[in-house]
Amino acid sequence: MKTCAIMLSLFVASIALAQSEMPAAAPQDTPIAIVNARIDQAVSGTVPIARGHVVFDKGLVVSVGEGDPASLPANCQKIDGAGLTVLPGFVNTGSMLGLVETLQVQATDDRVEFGAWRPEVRACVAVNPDSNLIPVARAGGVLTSCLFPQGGVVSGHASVMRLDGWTSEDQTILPRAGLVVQWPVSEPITAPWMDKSVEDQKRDAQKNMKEIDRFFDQAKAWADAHEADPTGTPGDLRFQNMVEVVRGREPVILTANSPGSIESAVLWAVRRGLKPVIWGGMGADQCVPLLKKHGVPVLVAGTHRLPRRSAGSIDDVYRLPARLYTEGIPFAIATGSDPSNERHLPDHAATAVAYGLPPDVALRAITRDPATIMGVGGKLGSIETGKAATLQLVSGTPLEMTCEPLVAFIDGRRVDLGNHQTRLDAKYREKYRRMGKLPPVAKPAP
Amino acid sequence: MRRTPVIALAAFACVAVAQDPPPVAMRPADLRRDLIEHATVVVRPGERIEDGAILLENGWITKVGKAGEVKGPAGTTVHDARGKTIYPGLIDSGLVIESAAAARAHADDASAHWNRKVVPQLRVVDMPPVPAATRKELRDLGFTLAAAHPNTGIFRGQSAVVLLAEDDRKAEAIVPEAAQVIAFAHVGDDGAEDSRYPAALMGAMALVRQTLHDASWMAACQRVWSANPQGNDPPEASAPLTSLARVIAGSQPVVFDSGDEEELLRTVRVAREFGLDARVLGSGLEFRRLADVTAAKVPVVVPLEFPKTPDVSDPRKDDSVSLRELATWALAPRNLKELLDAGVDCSVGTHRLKNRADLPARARRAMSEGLSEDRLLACLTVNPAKQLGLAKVTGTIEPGRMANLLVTDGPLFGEKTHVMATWVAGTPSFGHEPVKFSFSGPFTLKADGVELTGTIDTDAKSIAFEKQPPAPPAPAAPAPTPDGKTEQGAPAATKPADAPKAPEPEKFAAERVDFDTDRVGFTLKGEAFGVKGLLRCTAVVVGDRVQGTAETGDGKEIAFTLEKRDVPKPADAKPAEPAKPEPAKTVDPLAFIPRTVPLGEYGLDAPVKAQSVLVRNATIWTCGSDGIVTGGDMLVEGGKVKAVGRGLKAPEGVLVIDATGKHVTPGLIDCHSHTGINGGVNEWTKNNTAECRIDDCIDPNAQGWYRELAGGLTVANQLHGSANPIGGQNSVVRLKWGGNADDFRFPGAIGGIKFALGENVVRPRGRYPNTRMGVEALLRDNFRAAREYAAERAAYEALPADAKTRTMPPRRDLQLDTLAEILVGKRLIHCHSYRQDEILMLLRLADEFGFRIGTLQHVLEGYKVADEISRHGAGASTFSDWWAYKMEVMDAIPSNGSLMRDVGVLVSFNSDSDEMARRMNMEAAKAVRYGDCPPEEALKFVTLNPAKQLRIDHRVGSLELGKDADFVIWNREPLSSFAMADSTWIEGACLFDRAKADAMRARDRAARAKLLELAVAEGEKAGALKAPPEPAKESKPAPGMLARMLETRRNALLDEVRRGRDPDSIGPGDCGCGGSAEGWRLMLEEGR
Repeated sequence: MKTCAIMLSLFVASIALAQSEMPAAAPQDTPIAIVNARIDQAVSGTVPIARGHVVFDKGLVVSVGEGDPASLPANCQKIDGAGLTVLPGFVNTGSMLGLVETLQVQATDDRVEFGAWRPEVRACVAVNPDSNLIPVARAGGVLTSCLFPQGGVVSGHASVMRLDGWTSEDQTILPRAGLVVQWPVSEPITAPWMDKSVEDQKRDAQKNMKEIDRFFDQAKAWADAHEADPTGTPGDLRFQNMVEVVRGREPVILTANSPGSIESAVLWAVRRGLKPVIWGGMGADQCVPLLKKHGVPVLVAGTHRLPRRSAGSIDDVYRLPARLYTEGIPFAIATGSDPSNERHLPDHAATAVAYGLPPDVALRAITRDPATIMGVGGKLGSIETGKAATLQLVSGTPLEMTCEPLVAFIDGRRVDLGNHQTRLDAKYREKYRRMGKLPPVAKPAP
Repeated sequence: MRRTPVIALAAFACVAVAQDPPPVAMRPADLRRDLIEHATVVVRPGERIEDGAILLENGWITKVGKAGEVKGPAGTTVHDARGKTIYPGLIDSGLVIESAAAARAHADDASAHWNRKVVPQLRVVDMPPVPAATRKELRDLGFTLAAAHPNTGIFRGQSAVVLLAEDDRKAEAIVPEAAQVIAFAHVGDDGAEDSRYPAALMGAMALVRQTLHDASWMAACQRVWSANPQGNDPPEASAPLTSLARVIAGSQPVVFDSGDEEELLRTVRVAREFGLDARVLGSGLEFRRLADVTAAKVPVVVPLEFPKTPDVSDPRKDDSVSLRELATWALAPRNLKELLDAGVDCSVGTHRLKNRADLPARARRAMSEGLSEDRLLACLTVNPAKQLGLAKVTGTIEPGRMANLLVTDGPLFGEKTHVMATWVAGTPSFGHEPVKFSFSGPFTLKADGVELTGTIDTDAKSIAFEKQPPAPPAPAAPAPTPDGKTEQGAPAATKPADAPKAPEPEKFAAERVDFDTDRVGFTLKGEAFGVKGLLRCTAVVVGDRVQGTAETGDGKEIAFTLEKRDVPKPADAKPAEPAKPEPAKTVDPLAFIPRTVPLGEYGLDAPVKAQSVLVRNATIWTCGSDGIVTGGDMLVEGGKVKAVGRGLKAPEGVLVIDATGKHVTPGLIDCHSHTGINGGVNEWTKNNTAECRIDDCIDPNAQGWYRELAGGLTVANQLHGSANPIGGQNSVVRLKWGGNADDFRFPGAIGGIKFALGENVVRPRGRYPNTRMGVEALLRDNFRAAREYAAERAAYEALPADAKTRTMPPRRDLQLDTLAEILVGKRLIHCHSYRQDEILMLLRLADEFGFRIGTLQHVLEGYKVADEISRHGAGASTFSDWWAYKMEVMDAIPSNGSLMRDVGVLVSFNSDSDEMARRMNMEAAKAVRYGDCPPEEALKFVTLNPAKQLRIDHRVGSLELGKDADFVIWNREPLSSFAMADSTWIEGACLFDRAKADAMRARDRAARAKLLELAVAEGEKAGALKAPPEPAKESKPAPGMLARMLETRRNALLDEVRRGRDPDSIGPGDCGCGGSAEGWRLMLEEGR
């Protein structure tokens, strides 16, 4: 939209930079104050501030509130946010940004390690900080991602990353945010493609669950032994990386998308004293009492999914977040499995709004709630004093398609919202301008 | 039109001397004169003669009447059939027999068809006779005649009507070439490499069409050749095509094997197209589309197999079973009755029965749903006789009919009924023939000093004896034992007097009982006779008693007699009454099932009718010259937009909808959809499949349609997949939920075809093309072929009539027909394309051949050559913002659509996804966000522009005077991410309404809950319908490579399910792989 374009040109020096040549944002060296802006998700659960300010320095929010700040730090850069809204950066879980570049090109794919049991691997070490996908997601307001390794049974450790930095180390916020486990599908499948009998499938599922259980038994035994005798216990890289999980301090992230799988996953984790998080969440509306009782958070891996079964209602996934909210089950909304579409995060939340989720809850479900569930809620996800200044200044109504960030900050560093796509757009507009098929661009006043 | 088949009756009417081996001894006299009398004769359904008689002579029925009135000539064997019922011999019009070996042999013939699944020349009559065991199995069910159909391939060969005689030499085909059998077989193909085609339903249908055209062409060539051989090459010999001559002339029936009700309707469409005399081997699911099946007016051979009870024993998994599945299960036993009630010409066959012996139980189940015995009998006698053109030969018990009879001891298919005998062309085969001892019931055995009572049960082959103890003594004085002590040594006085109790008789059971009609042998414990050891008894019936001797262990013989003994019958004992069909139930226990179309979730009770509607005070996005009308009214009458404006007057009787605060848009149009395509989206087996038609495979039952209506979608362009450069023909449909495939077809939409370029089509190794270079060459070569073909045909058509009789006609080629239509602008190419170079290539090629590309699909680098696309005039139908999922889309940008539009290209957004198709308004909004497109123009990306691209904009795409009233009422601005469609209308009919959808959902949940209850109850009963636990599928050790492939597939699909994908939604339609391992491999390789 025109206004957006103008704002953009004010704030962003140049978007016509190839991503691979795009430098990481410079550290915040001067305090910044955004004034006259609407501020959403400033403090947990409160209504947005209609006209307020956010001041941040050295990467942290130092002041947020209604009206103008009482005083501004010296040499503070001031941004007039009139007509705009300040939002926390969006937080996507189950992300694959930087782990894979082109889904169908295997050489670019670092999501799946060999074998079934690999608790020793961590997503954060395999992130390509110069991935072309990262700036595209960032331009959609996604400023923090929680990467999930994929495949196998125990897939590896999820890592929380900031979507800016020279290196993957710069980007890493939390290297072990949870251990991802592909929980077995509990419901036997009778579709024609399934070449195993119902009995065999039930047996398989039982066997798989038992194997997982045994693996965790071994991990716990190792942790106990190691705790009692750190030097005498032989090392085991796998189990060493599971100590926090078996002690219930690091979440176990269980992939489950049906009532049976969710139930068995939760019961298993609770029995073992683990800290479960459900990833996927289809069918969670049929496990309400259990989820409620144990306060198990659900990461809804996208609302833009077809109903789980034709026996369900046509819009069951669209309605799922509203249902979880009504039942008081902690949840967050994510995008699902395609790294190139992570910028759709607010769209998934918006659809939940269309189907009954209050807009502020939906916004929280892609900012503060996923941050909390992934263990970084104390650092980011809302605009509060002391938290990271990872935020965006957007036009229009939050979550609407036409709402886009005009400027964004990660830890107070203003990040470039340009990317490979905007560069190509500019390049080919220029082609048509030269051909006279597009009007010449009006030079902005110096 | 009923045609009399060629009947080889002579073969059995006289003694088949020629085939008999020379007699080794005396020549037997073959007197075939039988009189069966005193039976209940069921002459035809509904007509009985009590105490009737039938005279059979030389294999034919010669007299029928009352017993005593019918007399046979001297030398007639008389059969007393008292207590028996005689039916016309049953006819199985759906006997499917294994023909794989014969099909293989024919496919190896010198003049074989290029496709190994086309073996119409195969004749069942040339194959070994139907196995004796199968014939016996069928006779034991009462069948005497069967239409035997081959089971392998697409054109499967010619069925024969065969007698189910016991003797191999008499099991003759009385109609040797009864019908050609055709099936649209396409899944599970394990054929040779060169005959993988077809892998999809549409390929199978295309192959059927092409083969029928080829047969017509061959016939025409042969006519020319026989009249004017001079100067012509002789037609190439082709046994397959020649054998189809009578089929295409309509003089040999075609039996289509239909897997479900939609396939039945498809076969009828093809049959009409070619003027075939069609019959259908039904699926048993016809009731789900009863009205359409009835209207098809095709004879149906109905199977009596019903779906097994869905396993809902585990309540945790019950949502895996849909209402559709449950309702199908519950209602399937009514299929035959409902078809008959509707007036469909039905017979019954044993096809699809997993176990033929289940037939009586299935028949009883069907009768318990209100089907009368007579109507069932008709489906097994007169109806099939008529369908087979044998009405004057068999099917009734009348003089002049073949002596095919069924003799039972009870009502047809009664629970206790036995088939006593079948007569096949005058020769009896005895089925249930219990050898019954002629003496039965209670008796008294007397021997020297011994008297026993007992009972003989001839059915159970048992003899029970009881030895009555001596009359009980007076209770007051227990009999002292011989030694003077009281019983058990207890003083009599101390024991309280027991109530007088009849002492238990001592029981003995005979063992090793062996009956004959008049003789019996058994063993018995000696104690029965008061002797030691085992008694070996033999006895014979003498008059009204049995006399025998018992040999003791020490060689003595004791004579005994059995005499009848009268036992008062208990008052409530009833003779085994034949099971009568229960009286018509007044309350239908299944009335709660909504009989909707489609059956199941969100089905409609009745087709939605167009209404006259005035939508008031809405913001109307006309997408036409009126732009956006705020506070606007729209009047709809006769399915058309009558007026758009402000302050319109409501004509009388018009439904007025207050849409204050709401928005109205044209119905959304998805220019790239794969929703609702049966039997595979990709016919991937060849690099050119232009002959395939998606239009053949429309699935009007797919729930996806309703989900998409709920998102405001009203029109979809159903496209073939992108596995080959020249794909199949498209189908433009309106989402007329509740209608049939015909209702879905968009009338008058110009035909199209899917092309594909780039990574997908070059990936399959071992076939041309493997590079983008090859794609261009392949397309050019095909266009040239089409141009030459069209010229050749035109030249032939221009010949004067007499020259035509001397000239071999050019072969009709459906593939080249299609391509030739493209060249003359009668068919639009919708081309899957990504990179700018391939886009340019196609445009240049089209320019060279002088036609215009319809749409470039995906066209993600279209923005790089937008000027060229605009100059050429192709439409661009793109994803709003997908990218990076494969190499050729790394440069895709979300402003692609807007940028192309800015340069003058006609742009639409499409879904290519059943999910995204539910929210195309959201996609349109992305043009606003990423491309600064004005909102109204963005909305046109999913309304007017795709309508223009599909050349249907004269009817849909905008809300303007005279256009079809396809519109959506939204609860807020349609481009808002928070917008929801309140209602969706097509031609003035409300196809979706959110409140109604919720009501239907409640209705369906209630019905489903009751059905689950029924299914659980049925599952718990050790009921006849509960199938035995299914054997582990495919646990056979597959060869290593295949096993790994299957496991890879299973794991990949399980992963999809783990991500929340509906397992039932994964199938041939999903990947186009036809479910075969080979297909799966290709799918893995081809990806998206």
